Amino acid sequence: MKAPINWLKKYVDIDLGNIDDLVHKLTLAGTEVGSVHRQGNWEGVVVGEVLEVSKHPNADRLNLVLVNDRGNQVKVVCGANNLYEKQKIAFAPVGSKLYSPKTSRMEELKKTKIRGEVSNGMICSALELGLGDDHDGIMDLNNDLRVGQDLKEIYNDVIIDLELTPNRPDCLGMYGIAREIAAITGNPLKENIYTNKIKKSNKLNDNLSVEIIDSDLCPRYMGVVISDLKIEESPEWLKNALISIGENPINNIVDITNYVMFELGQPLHAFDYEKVKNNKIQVRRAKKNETLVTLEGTKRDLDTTMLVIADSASPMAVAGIKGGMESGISESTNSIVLESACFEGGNNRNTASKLDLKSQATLRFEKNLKPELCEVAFYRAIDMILEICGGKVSSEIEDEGGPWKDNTNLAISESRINSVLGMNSNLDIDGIFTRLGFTYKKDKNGDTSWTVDAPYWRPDLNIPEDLIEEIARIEGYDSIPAKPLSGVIPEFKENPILDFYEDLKDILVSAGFNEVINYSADSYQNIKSVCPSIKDSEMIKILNPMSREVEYMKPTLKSGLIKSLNFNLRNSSEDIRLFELGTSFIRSKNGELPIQKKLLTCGIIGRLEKTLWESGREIDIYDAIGLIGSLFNALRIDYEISPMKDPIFNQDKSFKIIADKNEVGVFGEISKSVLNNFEIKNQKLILIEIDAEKLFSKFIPKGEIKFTPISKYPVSNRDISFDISNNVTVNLIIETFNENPLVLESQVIDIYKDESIGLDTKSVTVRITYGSFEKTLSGNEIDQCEKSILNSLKNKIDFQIRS
Amino acid sequence: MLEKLKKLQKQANLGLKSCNSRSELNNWKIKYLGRKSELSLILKDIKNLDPNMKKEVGMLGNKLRLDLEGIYDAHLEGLELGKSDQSSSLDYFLPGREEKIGKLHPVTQTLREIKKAFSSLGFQIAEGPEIEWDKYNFDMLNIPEDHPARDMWDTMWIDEKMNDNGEKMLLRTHTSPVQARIMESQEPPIRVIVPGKCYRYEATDSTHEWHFYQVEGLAVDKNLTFSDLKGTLYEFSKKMFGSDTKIRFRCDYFPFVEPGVDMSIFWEGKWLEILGAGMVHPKVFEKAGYTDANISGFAFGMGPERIAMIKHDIDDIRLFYSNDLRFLNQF
Repeated sequence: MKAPINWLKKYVDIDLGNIDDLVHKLTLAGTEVGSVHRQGNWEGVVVGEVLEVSKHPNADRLNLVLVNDRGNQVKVVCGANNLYEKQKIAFAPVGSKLYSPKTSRMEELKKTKIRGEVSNGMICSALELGLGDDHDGIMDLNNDLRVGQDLKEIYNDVIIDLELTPNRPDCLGMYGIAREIAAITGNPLKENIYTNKIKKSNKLNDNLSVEIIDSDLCPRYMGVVISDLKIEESPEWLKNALISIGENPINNIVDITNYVMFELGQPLHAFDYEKVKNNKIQVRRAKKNETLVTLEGTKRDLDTTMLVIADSASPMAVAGIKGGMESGISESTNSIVLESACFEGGNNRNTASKLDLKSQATLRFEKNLKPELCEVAFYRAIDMILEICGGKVSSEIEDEGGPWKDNTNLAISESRINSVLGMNSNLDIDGIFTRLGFTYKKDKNGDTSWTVDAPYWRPDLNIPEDLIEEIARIEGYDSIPAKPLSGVIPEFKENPILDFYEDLKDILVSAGFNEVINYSADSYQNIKSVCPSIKDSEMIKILNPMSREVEYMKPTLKSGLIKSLNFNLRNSSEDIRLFELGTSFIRSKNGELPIQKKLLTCGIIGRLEKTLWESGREIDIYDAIGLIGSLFNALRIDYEISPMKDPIFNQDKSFKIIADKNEVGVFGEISKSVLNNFEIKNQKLILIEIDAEKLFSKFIPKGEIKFTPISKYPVSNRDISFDISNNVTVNLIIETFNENPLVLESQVIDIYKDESIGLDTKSVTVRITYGSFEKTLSGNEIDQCEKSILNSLKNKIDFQIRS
Repeated sequence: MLEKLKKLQKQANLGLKSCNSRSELNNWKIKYLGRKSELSLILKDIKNLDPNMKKEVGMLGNKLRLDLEGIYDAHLEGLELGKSDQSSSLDYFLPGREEKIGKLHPVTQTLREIKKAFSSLGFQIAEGPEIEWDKYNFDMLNIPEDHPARDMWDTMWIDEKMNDNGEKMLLRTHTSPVQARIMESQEPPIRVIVPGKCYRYEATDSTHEWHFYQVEGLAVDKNLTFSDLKGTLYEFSKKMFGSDTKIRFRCDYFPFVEPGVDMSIFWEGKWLEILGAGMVHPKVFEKAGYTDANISGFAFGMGPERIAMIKHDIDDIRLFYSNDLRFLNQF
């Protein structure tokens, strides 16, 4: 909401030299000032006069203008199409300075040649001077202005832009803002705008009847006929007032209704009286299939929830949102019906959103303006119309609706104020209420209490706590003491799964993986690509997504991780290792909230390039197997991996992870068709996805771990090499060794393939760690043990021992 | 003779310095300490000296021998050590054998800082669903349908129509619904913070993302006051931004609190909004089924991205979800 200080000064004294202080006070008290714009960001711009306009000889769209610049005749090239002779203009002569948004600096105007013609200055638009958004033509100044006058004498306003919260419709009018300024500065409100000097003509020639049919949506409707008026341009001051807040003047009646809305916050409407059939106004819900062509010429289909203002035949306006074209004010109008009404906020808001018509009227009505306000604005507008447009009141004043709940009495006691704010000091509550313009009764018996009659301009005051906020904000939040949090610290309820998730992240980080956080949504195509088995009915579509790229909530984190891996590969010379711990979404069948599970997804792409210490290599599935081993080891969870089929992985490189007989995750090498979908070429991509919640169910919390004693005796390591068939998996050897109680650990330390041992054979070297809790094992004992293990292994597989 | 010994000492010391290998050192040993070395010959010949000289040369000669043996041992040790890490040719500017360590996302890091700050004030951590019912996201927080305050949260919807319970699914626009869920299921006292993802239908630019994190906080107990709220948030800000941080509270509006607060910190010459807060609105208590009139509380909410942006001079919120390692690796 733009608020020009010159306008506000009509109602309250403002020190122009100390705007910063005002801005600060307004902001602290809840009305944040977003920006302050000072007019006059130019040097040397003056009022000029157009003497002659002719076409530019070399350019169709340009004019040659002869301008009276402080008594001298100068030639200027100008592209505007609203030039006319004797027009007063804002003229920037050669040597003057204008603010350039391009360079963010004041730039001096120089003599230029445009298409072969010399231009000695510039005729300015409102935009070029920072006086408005209008760049369609040059500024058409008031003809009474003196040629040569410094434009700064005319435009010297300061405009503050308020970022209003939705609870304060009173500040959607200058008078309300002035009232707020009065309250926070202590300066009194000046002008009494409630005087009503209505002169009714003796003979009331015109009839008007108003009927509120749907009173639930319209608590009050006031209307009157004003006749014999003249529709013309508004006076200069009125036009300037509207221009200063960025509104376009239209004609005197429309401008007055707009002005009063921006002054008092109450939207008004005027109908052409001649167009109101049977002089009858009905406030009712639209009927089935009714339509209305609104002011800007669009045909609107109305539905039966929408409130309209109709005459005896058809709708003339969508109530409190937009007027109809047919009944609108035109140059030939000579009598009008002025409407000032109160409409129910929720319905008004819904209708506006259905029709996609967020007007200035809706911005106010949706906040449930009070019925008393429309009366104030009604008389204010009548006064202005009679003064500016002439004419006379020619009907009875119709005032329908009610009785509405007249006022809201809110009671608050001193002890309650102190107990909410946490202070014991004696605040000047009377003074605060008075400054805010509240009327109240005070009861000094015992605990002092106040009963405040919430004023009509503050529909946001509904409960006693609302008054406490008023007191606190006028007193200033900074004057309320801060103290350490008191009370009992709640009993500690552990949420171990949240800690577990953080542990997972730490483990992955220590394993060399970077954490990423992707959008929770992805495109249909990408999700289908990494999750081909999901049914459309299980997917969660966002009705109003930001774009098709993020239209569906992700049932897996794979697609996001693949994109992140590929993205980073472009900027890196190394392999990329990333993980994400995030939520997946799958629609549940019973209409409940979706299944929202936490997944841990890890991925690797790229090549391990040769370094000083390592020779380079391709990444492969063993990177995943190794990571899983490290992760599960760190978590102390036993697991197995086993092959499975999943079309997103390459057929022989697709596995599931099993812990305690449950599948807790999958991993593999992403298949070519999936890589193609993400436009990844010539790269291997390894992906692991683990159900973090399931994993947690297999996790033994630290608190439950029991210590296993450590053997006092030294261990012995022995390496044995087995020649076995390529088809035999090493786990058979490892498991057989591990079955023996004297084997503490066994692991594969080398695999060797060579023509000399046959192409279908591999040589596997296993390192076995022997040890006992009872004694140091002798070489003989170990030999015996080894012999018996090899014997039982012989029953399982064929092998040769290499010496 | 004494001069000779002194000269010998100088020569031996000098000679040792240029010994860079074992063989050189061995030669040196033979030359200065060997059986046929000058020193040995002098000591052998001592008996032929006159008695005065005998004593002096003997003492000096033997001391020199011990010294030379000492520096020989030391030099040998130095050579041995040097050999194991190629002392003279060690280039410690070469990359070491690196163990790669990853990094947590800056949002995770900031969330951990926030959690830590509030944990020390007795706050626990809770989470809630990201796809949520409108009842929790709006209605129970005193934001009825048709209310203009709903414009403060441009919502992304999952359901077009209400279900049989009159509820509609949406992407939560803030973590505040968890407030309502906690109060529905738990009696006071409550001190909890709720980190999590939120979503708003909002065009993205350098300060807006449609997808972001929020940390909601709630404290409910008997007789909690605005002063408690201020004290708690003061404490938090000091932990988060440094103990001399200047803090400002101003009036603001959120439908689920009254009075409503906006807290700013003074950072590099400017007041920057950090969080919204306020005393829990009586309607929120009413909807949660808290009827005890002595129960009061406060709530607050903040964006970890914004806090990280302020602390680390990040000028574009979109960097957080671009997942560019050149960004992520800086934290």
